[in-house]
Amino acid sequence: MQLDELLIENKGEILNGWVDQVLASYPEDAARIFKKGTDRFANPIGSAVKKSLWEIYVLLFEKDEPEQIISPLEQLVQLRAVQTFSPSEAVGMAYVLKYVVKDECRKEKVDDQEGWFSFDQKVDTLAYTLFDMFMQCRERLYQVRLAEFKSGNNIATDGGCPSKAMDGNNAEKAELKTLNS
Amino acid sequence: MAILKADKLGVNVAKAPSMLTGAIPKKAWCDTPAIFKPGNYAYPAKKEIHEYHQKNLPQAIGGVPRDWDPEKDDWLLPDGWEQIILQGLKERLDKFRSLKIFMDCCVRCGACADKCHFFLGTGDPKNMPVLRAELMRSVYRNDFTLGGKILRKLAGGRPMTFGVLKEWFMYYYQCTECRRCSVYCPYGIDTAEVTMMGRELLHLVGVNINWILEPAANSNRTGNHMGLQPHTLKENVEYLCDDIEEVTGIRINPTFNRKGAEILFITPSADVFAEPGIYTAMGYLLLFEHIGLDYTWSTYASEGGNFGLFTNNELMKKLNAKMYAEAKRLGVKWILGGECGHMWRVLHQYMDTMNGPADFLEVPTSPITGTRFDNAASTKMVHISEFTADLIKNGKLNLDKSRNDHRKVTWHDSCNTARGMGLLDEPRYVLNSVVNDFHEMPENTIREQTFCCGSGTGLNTDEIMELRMRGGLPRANAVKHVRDKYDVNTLACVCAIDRATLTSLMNYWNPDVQVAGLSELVGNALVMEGEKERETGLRFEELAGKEEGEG
Ligand code: SF4
Ligand code: SF4
Repeated sequence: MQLDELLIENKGEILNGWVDQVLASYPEDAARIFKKGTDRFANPIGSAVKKSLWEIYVLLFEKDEPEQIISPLEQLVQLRAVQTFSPSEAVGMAYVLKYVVKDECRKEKVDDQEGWFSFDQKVDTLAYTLFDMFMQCRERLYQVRLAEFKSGNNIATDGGCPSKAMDGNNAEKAELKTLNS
Repeated sequence: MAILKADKLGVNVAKAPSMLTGAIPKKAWCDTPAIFKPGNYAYPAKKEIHEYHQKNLPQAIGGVPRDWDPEKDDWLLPDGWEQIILQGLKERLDKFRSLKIFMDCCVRCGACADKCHFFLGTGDPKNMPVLRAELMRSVYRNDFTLGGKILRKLAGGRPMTFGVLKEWFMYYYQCTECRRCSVYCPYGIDTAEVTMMGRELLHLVGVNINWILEPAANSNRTGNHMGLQPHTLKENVEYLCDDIEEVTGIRINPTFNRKGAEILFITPSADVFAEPGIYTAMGYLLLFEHIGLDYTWSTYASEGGNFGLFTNNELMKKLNAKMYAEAKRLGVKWILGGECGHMWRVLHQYMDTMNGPADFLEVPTSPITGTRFDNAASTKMVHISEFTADLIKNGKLNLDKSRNDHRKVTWHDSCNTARGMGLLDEPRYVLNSVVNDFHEMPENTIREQTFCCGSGTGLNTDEIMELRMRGGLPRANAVKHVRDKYDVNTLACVCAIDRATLTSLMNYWNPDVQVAGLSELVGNALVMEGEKERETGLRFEELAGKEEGEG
């Protein structure tokens, strides 16, 4: 059997396995709930994982449009970038697909050099894209933090009256701000 | 070929190490320790702030004022801290019947488990409301129930240990007391109140966060969270009047601390200092000018918010009392309150029993329409949305909706005003009167079921930005839906904390969506007598049809 045939024929099983493995990065009790829930507003993580992975899979292996994967990845990466995952764990999501597919092939005997070459290439593209997007999200997070700081929100803990800031009393402000950092 | 069966996958999920993290999530919840890392906890209170509160309220703020680090193994707790907590718990079980009931009556049906935005955004089981309460319930069982005293762990009891204290500090500060879980609980168990008690107990042994205690100290000292002194508050409102004049050509000269005014107006101090609240404050100023209201600002009761709610009931009572004290001093008839969340929670749920009834005030009656607000007959305080809705209903406002045509708006029900006081339809009525393009978010994310901004109860500090983005995910997800479907570009609300925190939430999740207070949109739409033609909105943004080049 050719690999691309297998990828389409066994799409359901492979995607189930992939979704499960990605959800397994959450604690067991949560993974169970995220897997079950179908309402995308009541179960945002589970829905985002399922929706993104299905769409990406279709783009990579059915439609062969790897350049389109950014948009369906967006919400998922945004999510994982604020959930204490490291960059390698974020990228790992792509390699998990390799394991799931290889596991599937063990049972199926797929000897298709060319097919594997193209598959690896697509998964690598996914991994690079994930990495770039993850880092962009992290950067955005720090920008958000900075913007909030600039908006005057922090004044509530800058000690004393904000009119102080008008005197350019930066040394004192810095000291107060670093006291606990 | 072999097919991976669903049940086998279930086993895989449980038994195999995660391919992503290599970790096997095998431990029961109570055996998974709370680990503090940068980004998952808010900074403890500065020593001098702790000292300040302790001097004022020694019975509520205990422990030793000190510099301490949640990441270290020694939190420099007072001797015998376990007994202090247990004694504190005993006193509260006797004093608050609700706490006793909440400790006793949970049947672990799980209906609340997936209703908390922190659980939905983190996947951490201890953020399930049922487990959040269990963190305290297990200690309660161990020491305060007969079964627990005999059977201990078998009955689900746990002694009060440092590990338990760490869990409390972590998870009672990952609850925004939003009460969403209580909507789904068949017994009405309000985990928010468990969190409140958890925080009170932590304060008894000096475990606290600066973002709550410093604004509370500021409020106690200068009258508001920002620490604005009277002249600064006045100057800032005057700056806003300068901006109003630039946009509308109208000069407004509000009064401060004016004795004999009919109405005292109180709003969060963020409204006069931080973006985007200042645009909301400009809206209030325009509205009051439009109807010729006899009102005054106060530089003493210059804060609607009350961080006592997130600390201790005695501090809450004290901070709330200044509203009445100022109303009495100025001799006003009643109080009008601006767009704030927890100010209204305190007002609606606690003010009357803490500091009321305010018999020296009159039942609020709108001087413009003659409507008597009997719902506020005891507290004597009316919400700006109720007040505005009544004005519109009686045809007292000259509004040009098209001035908000650059905005496609959706509505965020703030937890405190929606679930905490039932203010659901008045703001929608006002919104529909001042904008042409309004789209609701999905049903299970609005009104009583609204999702929290993720940063309430004093969690809106920047060192836990990631945590806030996780907590706000369900809200942001629903906004994304209306943005994608209807091109919504504005998220409106009536809460000062929301205005600040939703701005950050949107900047991360939906960067093209701005956050606006309802009164800002009212201010944009108000046609003022003698005004010049408006080229921009209150934040100097271009109006539809007035883009450069289109004249
Ligand atoms: S009150 Fe809100 S934040 Fe707290 S447990 Fe309930 S749903 Fe979660
Ligand atoms: S819904 Fe109520 S009774 Fe059921 S587990 Fe949650 S708190 Fe307990």
